[in-house]
Amino acid sequence: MAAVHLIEREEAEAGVADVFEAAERHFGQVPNLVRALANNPTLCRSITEFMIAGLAQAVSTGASKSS
Amino acid sequence: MAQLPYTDPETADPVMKAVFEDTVKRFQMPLNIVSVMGNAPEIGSKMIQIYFDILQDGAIDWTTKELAILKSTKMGDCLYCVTQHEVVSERLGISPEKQADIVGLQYQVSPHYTDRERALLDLTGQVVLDPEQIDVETWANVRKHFNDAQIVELVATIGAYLQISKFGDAMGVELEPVFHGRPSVLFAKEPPKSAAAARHLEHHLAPAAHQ
Repeated sequence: MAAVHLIEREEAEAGVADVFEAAERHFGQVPNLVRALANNPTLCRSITEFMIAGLAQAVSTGASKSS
Repeated sequence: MAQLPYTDPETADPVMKAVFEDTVKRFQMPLNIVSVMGNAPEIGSKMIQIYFDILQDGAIDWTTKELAILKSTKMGDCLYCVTQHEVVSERLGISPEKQADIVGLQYQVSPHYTDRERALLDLTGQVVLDPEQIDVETWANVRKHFNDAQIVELVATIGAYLQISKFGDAMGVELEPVFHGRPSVLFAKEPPKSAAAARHLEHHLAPAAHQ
């Protein structure tokens, strides 16, 4: 069981709506980790943006990061 | 020695220039660890934003978060982080005596700590040691004092500082010269366990190294 409530898209604060959208675009769904983080919109944004940037292909390939 | 060059705040690209300015606001200087991140501005600027969000009043006040930072980085044997945050903590009003009592389990009986802070530090210790085995009593105590937004902020702070500790140590980031010779509060109470931290302590902080 999660230690905190997992926020559904409908109950998320307006301030994280775009974060949920970005997470869904990148991961194909909103990960539970992001839903847990959404209890704290400020950190939800910065941590999710870091994860997405880290998995982007700008610096090195996705394949090399996941191997 | 650092594994990558320290980027220069003066010649940094616009993204990193803004990052360096925000760093100075919090630490009163550009930091070597940020200079290393400057080698990859895209990911570096996103990484450091997490720390900027932590190092301010949020769902939990900054001073309280410093306790979790000191505890987690001390347990992670990160001399760089501990030294930086001993200084920041003192600036925020956490006395060296209170800082010293964070080591081991002394905080549980120290008069410097409130029950709320003890609950936070019990959780911090368990997150560092084994996050899948946090006991029911610890969670119950945490919930007495913190709501969900605060719990996310607290656990994210602990996790972020474990991450930055490993990043800095792996990259060989060195303490800035201004800290050289500064006596360590936490490591004076309990010496570092890792060879890397012991080396840093000997080379950068031990007074003998600067005589």
